[in-house]
Amino acid sequence: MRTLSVGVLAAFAMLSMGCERKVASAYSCPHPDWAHVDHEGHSDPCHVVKPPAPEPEPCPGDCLPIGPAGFRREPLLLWTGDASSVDPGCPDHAKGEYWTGNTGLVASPDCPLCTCGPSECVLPVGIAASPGQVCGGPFTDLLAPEPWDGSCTSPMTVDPGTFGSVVIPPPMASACEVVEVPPPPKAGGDFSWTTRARACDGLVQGRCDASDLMCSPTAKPPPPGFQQCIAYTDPVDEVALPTCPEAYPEQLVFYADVDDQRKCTPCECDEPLGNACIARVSVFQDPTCGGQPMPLFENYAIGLGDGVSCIAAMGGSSLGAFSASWGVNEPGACAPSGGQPYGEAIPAKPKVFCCQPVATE
Amino acid sequence: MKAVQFLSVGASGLVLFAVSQALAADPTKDRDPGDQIFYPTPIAFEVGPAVQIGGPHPYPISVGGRVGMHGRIHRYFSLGGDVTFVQTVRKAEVFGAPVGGSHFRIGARVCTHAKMMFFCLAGAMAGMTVVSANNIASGGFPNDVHFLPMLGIGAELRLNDWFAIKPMMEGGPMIGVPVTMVDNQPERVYEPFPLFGTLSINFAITLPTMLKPGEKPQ
Repeated sequence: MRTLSVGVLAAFAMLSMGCERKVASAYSCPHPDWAHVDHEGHSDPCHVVKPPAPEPEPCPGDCLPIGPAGFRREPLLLWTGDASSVDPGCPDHAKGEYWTGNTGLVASPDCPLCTCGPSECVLPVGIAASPGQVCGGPFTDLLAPEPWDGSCTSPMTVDPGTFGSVVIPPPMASACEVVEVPPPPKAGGDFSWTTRARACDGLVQGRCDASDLMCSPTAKPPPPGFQQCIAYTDPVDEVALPTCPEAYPEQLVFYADVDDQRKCTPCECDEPLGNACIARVSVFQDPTCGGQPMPLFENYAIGLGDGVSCIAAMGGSSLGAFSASWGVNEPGACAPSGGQPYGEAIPAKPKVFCCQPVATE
Repeated sequence: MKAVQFLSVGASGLVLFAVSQALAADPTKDRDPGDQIFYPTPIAFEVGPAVQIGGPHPYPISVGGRVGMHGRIHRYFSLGGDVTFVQTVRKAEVFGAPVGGSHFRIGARVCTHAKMMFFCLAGAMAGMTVVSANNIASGGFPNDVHFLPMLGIGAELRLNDWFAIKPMMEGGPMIGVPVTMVDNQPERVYEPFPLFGTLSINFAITLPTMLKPGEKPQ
């Protein structure tokens, strides 16, 4: 009976041992630290339990929807303001300057004012000696220095008997000089903008309640004038701008550059008008324009627009010098043309932002 | 280490074989009338190498040896007991820890014999050690104790009255076998497949009894 009881007790012991989970231990580290426990007080001899990351603090900024496909994932703080106003710069909590641009291009056509200088009377370039009495060739040219003020000049002496007449060309009117009066310089350069934009980003650590929300720097003032936006990052087609998501309904387009195709027609001056030019030409036998021997002729008047004059010379006379003076010297004028703008300046490098309304207090 | 165990067990079997052959020579030959003689009994000592498939460790092959006694109680039945010790061939990595170890058991069996074949019903109480990264750690007695009900089949290749070779396969479920927890982390637990099997080749030496002249064996 006793043997039977011991056997039954042993059987119960065996069964009870079989019911509970028995555990043998193995270790991944060669030298377990038996005393080490994890953050919950459980044995961790191989230091395999990493302490959990501390629960992040609630987002100190704004929890915002992340940007959809095609847009920058992280929201930005966008400031827009009048170009003439003071730019507040990026706020301290979003120091990173992501992008700057403008809109409202003002590019007036700035071409120079075209004017023309006077058209001066110009003395004949010289005279010519002709062997015959009626100014037939071959001619012997006696050219005045250039420029010539009409004073006595003796390029050469033509001996007696070698010429029978003297050719005198008429005075001329010089072309008008083109004068371009540049437009007054502008403080902002060749063009200006009416509105300026500045996108700022920053890092804010914090917990948001939904996985599709991102903790972002707040847009609330100070400083005022900022709004939460997402930037479109794909290439912009200005004909078909991207659709803004519901969370950022306001679409704003700014430009980073200008494609300036403006040009001006060149300034020109028309033919001179109104000149009154009469030259008085004297031709001497004396190479110094003296009275002895007797001059061939003195103060022969020839005007602008006249034909070439032919004056017969006395027989046996020589040709030593000539001089000229103005009988009438009234400059003419020219009508200016050109200086007209064509082409235009267009904004370039567009950037699309989809924004929430400007934050208020 | 395991190979040395295997060879040593095998060598001891060969020595016993030689001794039994010597004893098997005609025991009455050239004996004096006053000499005592050895006569075989129904009890045999068994020893031999063993290979285990499965077990409590993650690596599925272990080698070792078996030592036992066996007694024939009837023409068709026998009783026996043995001790088996095996060691995993190498360690297997579990949750980053190299895990190996030994598995040992002490058991009893009852067998029924049919000609040279025998079939056994056995039960064993087992223990284990776990070897990991340069450490030996086990659940410790009695925590690592588990139970092994087994069925076995074998053959008895009798060479003579004193010696037999007995290849044997036995196996069964492991009841209450410990799981192996790595680094004391409850989520890093290896649970062994609950079935195992052992193949052993046993060298059986029949234990002798001494008969005085004129004494008849029982």
